[in-house]
Amino acid sequence: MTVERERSVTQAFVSLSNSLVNGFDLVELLSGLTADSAQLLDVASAGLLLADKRGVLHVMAASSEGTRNLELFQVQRDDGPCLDCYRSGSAVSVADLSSEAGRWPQFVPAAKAAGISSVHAIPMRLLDDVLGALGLFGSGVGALNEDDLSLGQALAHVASVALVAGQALADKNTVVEQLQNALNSRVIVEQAKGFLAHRGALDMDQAFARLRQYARNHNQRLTAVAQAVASRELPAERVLDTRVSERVRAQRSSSR
Amino acid sequence: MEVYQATGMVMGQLDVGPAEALVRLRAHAFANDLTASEVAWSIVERRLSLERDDDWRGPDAGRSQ
Repeated sequence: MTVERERSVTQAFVSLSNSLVNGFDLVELLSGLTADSAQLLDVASAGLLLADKRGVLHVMAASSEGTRNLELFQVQRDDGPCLDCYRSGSAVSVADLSSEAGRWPQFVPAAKAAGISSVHAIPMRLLDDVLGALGLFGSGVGALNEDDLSLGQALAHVASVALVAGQALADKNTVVEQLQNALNSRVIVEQAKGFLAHRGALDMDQAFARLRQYARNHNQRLTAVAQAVASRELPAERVLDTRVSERVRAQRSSSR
Repeated sequence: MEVYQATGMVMGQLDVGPAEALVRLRAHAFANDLTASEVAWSIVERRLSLERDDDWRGPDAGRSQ
């Protein structure tokens, strides 16, 4: 492992564990998980499916819109490695999708069309429950090496624990309620993305980046910022204006 | 998910809240014999922009008359 990568891996775990102690926004945490996975592991992108209280899977986070659509496609068509991973509760590794067209007749052509050649799906587990699946998508053919696979699983484990961390504080909340809350905040985040995309003539990835940047710079939770944008309490222009965000950050770092 | 993103875009286009934006999206789908998901994709991909309709006074407009 190179020094650079080791630092990034450490950073990913530090930020996951910080959020456990200091409180966190689930949507942001899970978006961070997919972004970290895509960056740290030898894959092009990552996406995350979580089950709601009826066991229906939802796309919770993805490192890109294209991957989000590919995850959504699996859920809608009921076909794909991430679904199999969730149902079996064990990892599904496909080094070359071309050889699996018979296994996933709908997913394989869609993945190919999106430039994806290999998939590794890692279960999000907690004791005997399977909460969902982390999908790692590679643009090239090939298996993920052992180190990357166990690092991916470790990231997924920490995120699984984070999902239920709130439970210890308010024991009325069950795991599924936590997940339901996360899904509800996801709706608000998507609305805010759409709103910002329209007002700022941005694509959804860019709109999300602005939203997250604003939340970070102002030390607010992602869902709170999304809620404020959707309800117009926070003018879209302030989130879209990157200069303002840069200034706030500069003030923060100089005052430290 | 695209329905939520599209709802957000309609909120920006028509300057309305999330509930009305979703009603407008569904109404467009019904009037054109499309699914809400199809309309949502068209909006997100910017092939469709819902127009302001000043005659429209919301779902409760007829009640007071």
